[in-house]
Amino acid sequence: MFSKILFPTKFDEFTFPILKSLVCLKSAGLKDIVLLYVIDEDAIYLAKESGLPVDMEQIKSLANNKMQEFVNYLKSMGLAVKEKISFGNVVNEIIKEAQIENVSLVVTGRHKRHKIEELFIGSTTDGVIKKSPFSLLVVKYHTIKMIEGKPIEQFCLNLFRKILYATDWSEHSERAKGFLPFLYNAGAREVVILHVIEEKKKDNMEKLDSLKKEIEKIGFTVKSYLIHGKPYKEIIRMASEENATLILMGSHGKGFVKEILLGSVSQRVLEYSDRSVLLVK
Amino acid sequence: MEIFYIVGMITAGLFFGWTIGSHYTGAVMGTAYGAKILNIKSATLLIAIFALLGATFQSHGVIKTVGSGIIPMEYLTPFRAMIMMLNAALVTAVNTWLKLPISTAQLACFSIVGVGLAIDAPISWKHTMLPLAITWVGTPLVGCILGFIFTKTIGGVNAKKLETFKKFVLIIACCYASFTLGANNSGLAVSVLYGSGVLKSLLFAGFIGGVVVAIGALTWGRPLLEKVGLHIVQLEINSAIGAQLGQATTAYIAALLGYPTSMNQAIVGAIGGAGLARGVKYIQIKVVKEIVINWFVSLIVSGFTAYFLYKLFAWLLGAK
Repeated sequence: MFSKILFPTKFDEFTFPILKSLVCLKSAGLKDIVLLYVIDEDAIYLAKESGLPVDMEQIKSLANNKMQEFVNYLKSMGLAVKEKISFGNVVNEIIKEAQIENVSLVVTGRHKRHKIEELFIGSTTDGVIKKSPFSLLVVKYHTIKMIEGKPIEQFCLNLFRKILYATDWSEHSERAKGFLPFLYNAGAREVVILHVIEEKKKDNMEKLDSLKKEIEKIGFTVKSYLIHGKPYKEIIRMASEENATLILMGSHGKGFVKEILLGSVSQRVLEYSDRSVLLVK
Repeated sequence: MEIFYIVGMITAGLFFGWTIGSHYTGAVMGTAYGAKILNIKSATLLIAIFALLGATFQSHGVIKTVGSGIIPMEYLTPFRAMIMMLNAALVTAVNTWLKLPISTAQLACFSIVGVGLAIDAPISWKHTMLPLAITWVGTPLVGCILGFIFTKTIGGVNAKKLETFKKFVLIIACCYASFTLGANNSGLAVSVLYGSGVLKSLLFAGFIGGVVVAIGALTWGRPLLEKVGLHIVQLEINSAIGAQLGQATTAYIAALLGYPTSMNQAIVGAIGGAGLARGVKYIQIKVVKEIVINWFVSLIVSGFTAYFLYKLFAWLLGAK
């Protein structure tokens, strides 16, 4: 499930830490990483429209130079690396390359953005989630916490330490469960199972117990919770309370109109949680 | 019904003004942001402040020319003024997807011409449109000459110690460009509001134009500048100062004469001039071709759409 991953980058300062945290997936089967830089056609249009000089060759050569640092590191860690630079709509190019390269997972980072940007532009990650048929690992590498009145930056160092697995018993949740043995191989040892219900049903506890036993068999230490409330809020709260490093969940929409208005549970978890999310399609 | 047209005109005009604020963010602050002399917050805040000042105090000539110089004021009913602004707003919005090279100054002026032709109003070809055309052709040329002169002058001052001072001068040049953005372009959004008598004071009209442009810069200008900054060729400091001063002075002279022009075309010319002064080819010849195409695309798109939009709404609503 992790044998070949696509890693689109914008060369943010946290790209390297994310790549470093992904290397542990080697023990879960990771062999190839495809690094992708998309020259955003919108940005080029805007720069030209603003009357400012643009040099495509310079942009490509700068991107190439920046990529070499990552390539050297990944190769030194024994991984096969392919570098690609393309031009176009960022989301479409990511999906296109993921299809061409036949990857099993797309990994993206996500940084805090301005509220207005959310409103007008929408993030690349949101676009990939909506359009892509691929599972997506979104690494939240930059969270700022106020500790004793001072803003402290925290970076995710051990991405797969403790996993919060949110299930709604759907087909997508089942597929997400399939990732757990691989995550175990990548070093994960603790799992918190969470099922959030809006109405009380009798068989939920039994289902949860049998799921707990099933995951324990892989080797994990498992806790399970059945909670009443709004699913996305409870998932975010529990991930934080349990200090999980990764939220694992299936991705499925709630119907076109509702999704546009509210966003699906997975989109909201992704938007508002400060934990990394592995979204399984 | 008239109140409906007035509300429509104000809404469309304000939206148009807001897009002006965001549209020109790169042109007035791109050099300083690209060179990492200013961060995005300070860059957009400075645009907002200086554009507001320029709009309030120096945009009166442009407001008069566009609001009453192209077609006589008595022809500007609230319905017609609404169509003009609606056209400007719609073309801008659609252009977000189509990405046609359209200058806001030409868009606003040809929206008025388009409706003017549809209502058989006397269009001031000789006294307003001809000087406007000369201004538009002259903008990149004068920008180029001034960019050359300013860059040569600044480049002559070569002491190492002055590097920090030069950074400061670049910020001032960008603030001057922002002031000019207010003076030259913000009036486009409120000109027909003044021409149709909805806004009676030039000072107040200028202030309103400035506020929407400032809001545009503070909201949409921010992500735009962020995107642009990552992809532009970084100019060396002398060229950056020379280009920005060349652009600002060109557009400022136009504003003092009362003629709106494109800040983007002014900076293209000025960067070309700066490049000539430093012996660097910043601007490719095909950009000049794009500017010429721009003039015709703006004319055709905005003029024709305004003409047909008026005919369509006049038929649908039975208004004049």
